Amino acid sequence: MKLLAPLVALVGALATVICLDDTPADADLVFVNASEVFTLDPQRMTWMQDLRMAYCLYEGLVRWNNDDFSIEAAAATSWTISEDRRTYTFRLRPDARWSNGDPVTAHDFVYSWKRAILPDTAAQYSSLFMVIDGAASFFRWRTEALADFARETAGLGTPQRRDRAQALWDETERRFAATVSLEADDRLTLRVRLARPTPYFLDLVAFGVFCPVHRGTVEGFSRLDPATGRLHQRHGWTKPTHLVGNGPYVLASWRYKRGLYLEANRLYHSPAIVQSPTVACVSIEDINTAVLAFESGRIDWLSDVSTEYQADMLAQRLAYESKHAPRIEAGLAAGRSLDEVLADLPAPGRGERRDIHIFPAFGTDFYSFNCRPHLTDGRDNPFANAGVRRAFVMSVDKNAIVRHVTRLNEPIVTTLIPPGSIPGYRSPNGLGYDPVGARGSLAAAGWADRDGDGIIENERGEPFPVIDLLYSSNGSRYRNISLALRDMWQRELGVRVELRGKETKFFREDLRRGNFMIGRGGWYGDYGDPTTFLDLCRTGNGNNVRGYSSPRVDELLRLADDELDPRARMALLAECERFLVTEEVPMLFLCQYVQLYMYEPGRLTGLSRHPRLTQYLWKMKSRG
Amino acid sequence: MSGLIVRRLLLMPVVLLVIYTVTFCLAWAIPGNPLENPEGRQPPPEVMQAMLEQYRLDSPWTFYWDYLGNVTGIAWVLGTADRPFDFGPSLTHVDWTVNEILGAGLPVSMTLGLLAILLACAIGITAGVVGGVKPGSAADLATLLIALIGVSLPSFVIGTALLVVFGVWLHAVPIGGWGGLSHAVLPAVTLALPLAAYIARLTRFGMMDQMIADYVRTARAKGVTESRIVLGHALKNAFLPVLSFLGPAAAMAMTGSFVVEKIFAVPGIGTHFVNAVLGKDLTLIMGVVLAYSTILILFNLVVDVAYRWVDPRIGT
Repeated sequence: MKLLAPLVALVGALATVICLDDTPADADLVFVNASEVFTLDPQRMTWMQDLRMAYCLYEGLVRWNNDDFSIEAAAATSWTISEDRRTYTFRLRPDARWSNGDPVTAHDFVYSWKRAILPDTAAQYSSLFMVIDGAASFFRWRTEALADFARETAGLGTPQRRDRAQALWDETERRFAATVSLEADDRLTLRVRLARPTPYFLDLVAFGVFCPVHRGTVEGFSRLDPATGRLHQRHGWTKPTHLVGNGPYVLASWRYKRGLYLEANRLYHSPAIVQSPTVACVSIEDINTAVLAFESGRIDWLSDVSTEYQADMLAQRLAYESKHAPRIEAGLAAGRSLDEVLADLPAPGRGERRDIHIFPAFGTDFYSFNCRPHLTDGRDNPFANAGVRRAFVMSVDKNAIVRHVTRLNEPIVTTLIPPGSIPGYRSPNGLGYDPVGARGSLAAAGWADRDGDGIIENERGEPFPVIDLLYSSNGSRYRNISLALRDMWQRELGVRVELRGKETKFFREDLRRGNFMIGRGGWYGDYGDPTTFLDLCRTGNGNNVRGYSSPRVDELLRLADDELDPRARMALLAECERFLVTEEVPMLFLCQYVQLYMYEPGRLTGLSRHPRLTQYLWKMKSRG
Repeated sequence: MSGLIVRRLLLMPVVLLVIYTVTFCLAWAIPGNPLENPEGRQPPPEVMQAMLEQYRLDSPWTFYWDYLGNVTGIAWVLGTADRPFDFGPSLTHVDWTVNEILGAGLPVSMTLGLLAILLACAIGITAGVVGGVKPGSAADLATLLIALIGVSLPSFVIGTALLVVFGVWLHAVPIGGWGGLSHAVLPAVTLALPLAAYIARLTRFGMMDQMIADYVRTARAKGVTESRIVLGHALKNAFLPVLSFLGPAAAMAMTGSFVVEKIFAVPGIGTHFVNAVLGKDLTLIMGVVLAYSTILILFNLVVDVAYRWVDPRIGT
């Protein structure tokens, strides 16, 4: 009995603690990201959900019209491009303010872009800034200077190191001003000179990592590290009490694994564009729970429905559409959007749904061939031969895969670049499904069934090596596709395939070391130019895990780099892609990636259907 | 008693150092690069090198000693660090330090865990006493059956079922998130059920042994009321095995459960035990392991002390 009083007190205290932990406030727009927001520092962003926040909290010089990806004015009102297409002069809005009232100036952009270029920041997307004249050499110089610093100051005391770090930093500032062609001519004029004409430069500038940060705030969290000489930038400035932005929203709250709340920025220059005054990004890590939360009516938009049962959800959607097919067709014919038509139909019955939506994305799902002459164990690699690769591509029935294996009916592709995703560029046609041609190609490469046992051999009678097919074993998608590929190749070509599923980290390690014959791949583009995909096939590119190298591809890409005429440049790039997808095929292109959204049609508006799938939250509105 | 406490507390840093070293070796051995984007995009090698240097990941030796200095506060005493007990920035959640992550998640996990333990004790002990007093009765069979179900059903099944029934069908509780009792009830119940089942079984067998002991017969002969025999005498002794189970169970429940936190989107630290390892987030791995170890050591100490308090014969 004497235990009862402390027990009651404990329970009471617990209940109080739980109740005092504030409940999330309601917002005009509530959505769930595919995963946690990692960073709100635009220069360090790489993830789609982080960049989505960048477009709310910050405003770059220009932005995309996210319906057709043309360029619109944002923090800059106008810009001029020099004759040689290398110098861009941006004129900034005089009325733009930071959320603390400071004016947004050209110096802020110089500061922010310098941050991205500095090796100290280690920005993953710093390579995009290397189009600026002098940026690459400045990056190299600072990297070497930091290495020298570590060598030269070994054994010195902290105060001396601190002085040396400061001296090096002063020299760095001088060097940046002298060598990198990025200047603020006056408070509202920013001038950038590029290393070479880059026709997609404005598209880059609209990308989130080019957004400005508030210098005073970030500098408050930066100091020179006497141990390494680096500029050490803590990330505390991205937290609600500190973060200062110039975008349509301000950060009202951000709690780890709980959610992130945005409020319309009262100092934003064009408040009329903001459709939802408050936005809540709720953290629900488990997608099944997120779907339940959506079904309970709490969520307006689920931005990535990657459940194991997604294909079943799509089947329910198809059932609903086919039941109402005549009315849908009539509505579409009358010029209404699919969402509007769906919203007016009767509510879905059992086994039907209309709240799942499939959006083709700016990425291609493919399998990589190892193109190196030898495998990691020293054996000859049959896939070094383009004829063998072509045979393996032509013997795959992609339609069967998207219909019966992934069951998502993704648009199948024969090219690297998703069709119609880049204005002004038309992809050529690649290799289609042709099992007979595949066997011919394999025979031409020296592999044929010479003794009639169903297994192919070379001239010396050696059977085709057992194919090592590597995939990542998280989720069932790639296991299923790999199984289907194995069956198709065994059936059509008479080769033996062994599957090797590995956990992501191990999988990546094997890919990097070239320890595979065929491996799961895939790529999402970063900016609106074919090179965002074609660069994957450049010799020595860091993402070229295939070890693919072709002088012709390198030459075509180099020619395109130097070409001033946009149409001639696109023709060079199209020729490069044609060569890749019809002759060399370093990858087996399967389908365009798709993104599955969940929202109630008619209730949520403002989503873009362009494959680049950049959703501006300030354009979105929920009718609750 | 105080000798025991002092001895254990003095031993604690040594135990933690061993745990730190072993965990570090295992975590470092995980293949891959924690700074790599799992979607496969590779930054240029020179940028990756700069990132590795920024986080001191370029050499295991420097990382081991630097981190040890920061965590213990030695670096702060020597003036090379800004603050003591610094677990460093998370390598995957780059805007957050491990201290912030633990600071945000640990109180949530601990509150939820404590709630679950209390709930489990309330349910488990009641059921155990009811069954243990009259073994073989209908009530006993019923509690045994429920306990069997509680132990066997995995929490992702119980959790999802509760969520569907109370969240989607009845709209009685909000789905996902934290804040207010309504968010805490379902995860606490899910977390408590298997524990309650285990406690019920421990209590039942304890009670069965005690109810046929000589001192119970004596008490009955003296005319002591049955309720006083059960609650005042037998339960006190039957509780000992439960008590030794409660230490590790409480430490486990209070550092969060991966499954329960994932299903109910509870912002605790339970999910980090798995996700940090998958992402090779070295600093976060060290942070959660050290936090868990400390709590486990302290709870075992509390249980040992409580043991001696309940049964003074032990340890004298």
